[in-house]
Amino acid sequence: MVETLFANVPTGVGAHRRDLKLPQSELRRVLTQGAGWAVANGYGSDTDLEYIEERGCLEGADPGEVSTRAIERGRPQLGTLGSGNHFCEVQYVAEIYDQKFADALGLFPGQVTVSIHTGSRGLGYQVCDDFLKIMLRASAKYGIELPDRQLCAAPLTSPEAKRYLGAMSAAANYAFANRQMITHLVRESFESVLGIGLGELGLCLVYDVCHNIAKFEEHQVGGRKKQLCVHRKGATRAFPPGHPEIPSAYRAIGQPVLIPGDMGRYSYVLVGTELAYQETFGSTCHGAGRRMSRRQARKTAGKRAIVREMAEQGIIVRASGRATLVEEIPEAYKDVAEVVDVVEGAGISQKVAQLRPMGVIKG
Amino acid sequence: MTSKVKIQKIDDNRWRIPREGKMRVEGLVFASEAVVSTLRGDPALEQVTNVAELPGIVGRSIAMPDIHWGYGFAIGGVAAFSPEDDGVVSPGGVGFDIN
Repeated sequence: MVETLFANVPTGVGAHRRDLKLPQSELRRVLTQGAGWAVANGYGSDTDLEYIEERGCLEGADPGEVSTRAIERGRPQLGTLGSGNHFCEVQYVAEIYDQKFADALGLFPGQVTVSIHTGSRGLGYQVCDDFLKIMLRASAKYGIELPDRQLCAAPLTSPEAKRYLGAMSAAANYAFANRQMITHLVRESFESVLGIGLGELGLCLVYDVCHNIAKFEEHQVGGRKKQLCVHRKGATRAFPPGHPEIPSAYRAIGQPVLIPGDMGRYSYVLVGTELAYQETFGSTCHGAGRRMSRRQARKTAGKRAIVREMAEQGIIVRASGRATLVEEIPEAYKDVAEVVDVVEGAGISQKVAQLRPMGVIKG
Repeated sequence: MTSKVKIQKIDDNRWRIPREGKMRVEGLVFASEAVVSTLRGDPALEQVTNVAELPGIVGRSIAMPDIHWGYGFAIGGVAAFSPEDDGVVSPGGVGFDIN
């Protein structure tokens, strides 16, 4: 199964598809329509869209603000995983913490699950890079005092902010489409290896959520409702039960939150809470968090045989190069259990299930 | 690099960074004792206070327990800005890996 996934989902730095390099005009449609574009083109179903944050499409995306360079980087990369901390993992449900919530999400002990972690690839990177230059000029223009140049910003009411949000939303839509395509490739891989159809297979989308995004949302501030631009960078939206943005099937339990750990240990499924809405603008953690820099991790890994080490723990790992693997060794990350216990202890999320890895594909 | 950031325990899972200097709001860090001990001297905490200086920030500059250094804003950070109060948007607050 892992070999098939590895063959079907392109991975690695600059991973691209030989079979699919979209014309510019079509890519602009991806940037406007997000996951809906993928579904309309045969990748997955309309039902999937219900289980994606914002139904997989941010309004206000403006492909006209995405540079030609960014578009060129994006054209051959749609439907690819990339490198770094991005991965696709085959897991099993090792533990259920709340039966009612697990039932609502369709999770049960021993069930096989697949997690996909990737984003907007080179296109999103280029959008950020392009706008850092624009925002540095904007900061000077609007007299914003910066404690660090890397915080360059523009007033939300300025044309520069509108342009950035238009480009960022377009990149976000690319990311939604990218994951939706990979979801489809994963399903196809399972169907071909197991020789059964989707109806029998299941592999329904539990949820698809962002963790690097800025969005306008309504929040209570000093007793009144206000539209705020919430930045979540390595943080996940965690809306409470009853929130209208949550799929109706989950409305009673809160928004699902997916928290991947390192490739050797475990990941978690959580749900958002009312307290998160009050204390953190409806946000929670996003993963284990690095404990070592990439350089430190490379040094620690040295010449170790990472694939063999993982295999000895019963985890099959396939990666397109050694470079990513040595940076992603399990000990490069904090123990995600510790991270999740904090957000649960603080009441901003609630644990539903723990997932353990069986197979991982990486860049 | 030694961090000069002051951090005060609220309870077992929450810590406060009091307002100092040009900070417009305080910092709120979600962490256990064990996580905080790994954060002492980490430039990521200074990034939380830097974000607290930005115009129009509402509530608190928030850090999750998986916080670590990122471009401008720490990874594991949450910050909300109000357009009515000169609030800003910053690409560093989203990062390079958009979505």
